[in-house]
Amino acid sequence: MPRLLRTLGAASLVAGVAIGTLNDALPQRTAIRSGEYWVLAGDFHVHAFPGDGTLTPFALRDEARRAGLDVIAVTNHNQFVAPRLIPWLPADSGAPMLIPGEEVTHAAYHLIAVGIDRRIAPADSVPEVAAEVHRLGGVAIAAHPGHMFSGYDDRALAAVDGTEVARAEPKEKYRREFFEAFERARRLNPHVAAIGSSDFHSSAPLGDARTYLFVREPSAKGVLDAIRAGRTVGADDRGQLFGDPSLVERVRANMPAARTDPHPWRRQLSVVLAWCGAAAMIL
Amino acid sequence: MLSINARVALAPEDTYRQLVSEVTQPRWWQALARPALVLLALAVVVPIMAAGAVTASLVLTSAVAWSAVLLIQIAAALVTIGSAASRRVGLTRALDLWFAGHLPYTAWILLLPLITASHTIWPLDAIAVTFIVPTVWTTFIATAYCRTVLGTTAGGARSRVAAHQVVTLTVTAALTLWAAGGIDAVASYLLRTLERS
Repeated sequence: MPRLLRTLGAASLVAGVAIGTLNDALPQRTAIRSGEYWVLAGDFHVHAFPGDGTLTPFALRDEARRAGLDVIAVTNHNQFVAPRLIPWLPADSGAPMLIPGEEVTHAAYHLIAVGIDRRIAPADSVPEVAAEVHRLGGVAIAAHPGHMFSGYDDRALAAVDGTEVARAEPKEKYRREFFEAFERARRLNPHVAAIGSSDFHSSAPLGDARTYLFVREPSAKGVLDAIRAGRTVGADDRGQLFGDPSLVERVRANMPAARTDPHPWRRQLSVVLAWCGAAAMIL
Repeated sequence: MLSINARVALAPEDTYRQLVSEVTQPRWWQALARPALVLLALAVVVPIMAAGAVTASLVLTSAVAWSAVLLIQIAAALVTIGSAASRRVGLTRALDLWFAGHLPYTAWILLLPLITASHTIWPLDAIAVTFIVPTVWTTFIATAYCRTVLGTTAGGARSRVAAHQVVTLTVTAALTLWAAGGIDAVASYLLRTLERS
């Protein structure tokens, strides 16, 4: 009986993986123009393996494509191992861009550094870290700047290029705090970028909150320039948009495609078959 | 009716005694069959959790990436097995039987997509809290293993299992600390978690 169960399990697993693979036609992105800009969708707070994320940069790139993202930043806590794998990814002209980054993690603040080429150690204050990020050619984004992070005073908010205003946060209280921090930052710096991020670790979905960018060129440089200039719109998981009202209107008028899942039942069937197959083989 | 893994999980002492009495000496690749199933569980569950999908590419990359976890477990098992002078079976059989006791962890891995599906508990918190169940359960299985397969005394089994658990939990904690950004980051995360709850 165990042998029969194991054989059936193996067959179920193979069938599940086969269906999932055949169903996984990675979508081609259609470039969207809005006046003089390209409109891209990005997620700049993504954790990867090795680190506290579950997917490798290679798998993340495909997942970003499924999620309808044009660019993601790999940002692990206080380390730079996973981003070093990015240059080793096989070339794929249709794939989303991966930008190296770090979530500089301190008890008083978390700060996303995007577009850097080495690890940045957490310093005592946000302005110090932001200055180091800028020195390395990157942009600094306040990560989930709520009341639990005492480091985000006015000096800190004036030093960053963007703040996470849109996140898939279950509690309304925290959503309000992120918005209030963004409003404070905007009073200090009218060009501060509105950022939407998923803070993806281990559970789907990547890009549930995202950032729309108005870039002059679809490249890492173009993306970083757009954040520096504040040409962004943050979008949360409910479709609420944040940022410069004129840009919000332009996104509404010309929204890039979101996650595609043309045959959800096939995907779900493949998951059930693969999971049941693995369980039968092991148990 | 039940598989060897399930019998070991439910009645470790009796099952191990019976398995030790069977004359068999698996080859290396046969001894790695059960560890391979643990890796299979990881390779299937990681894509389900992270992408809600299972494809050949996701399964393969997850298997390669997470094989490090399995290598650490095999190394810890070999140290435990190799240091027992009174072992009653060959090394490959001992390794095979060690991983026959892996069901609590493997079942926990398989259940992770459900454990992390809650919208009210952060996935990492749910993973950390539920990790206690297989850890405690495995302690009983490993103690029975040491007594019946490695031939140690009851006290020797307890100290050997304690040493094994301390080493593996220390390695797990060290990797977690590294991934989370260091002690300060973890401490502040715990404080924030308390406040959120």
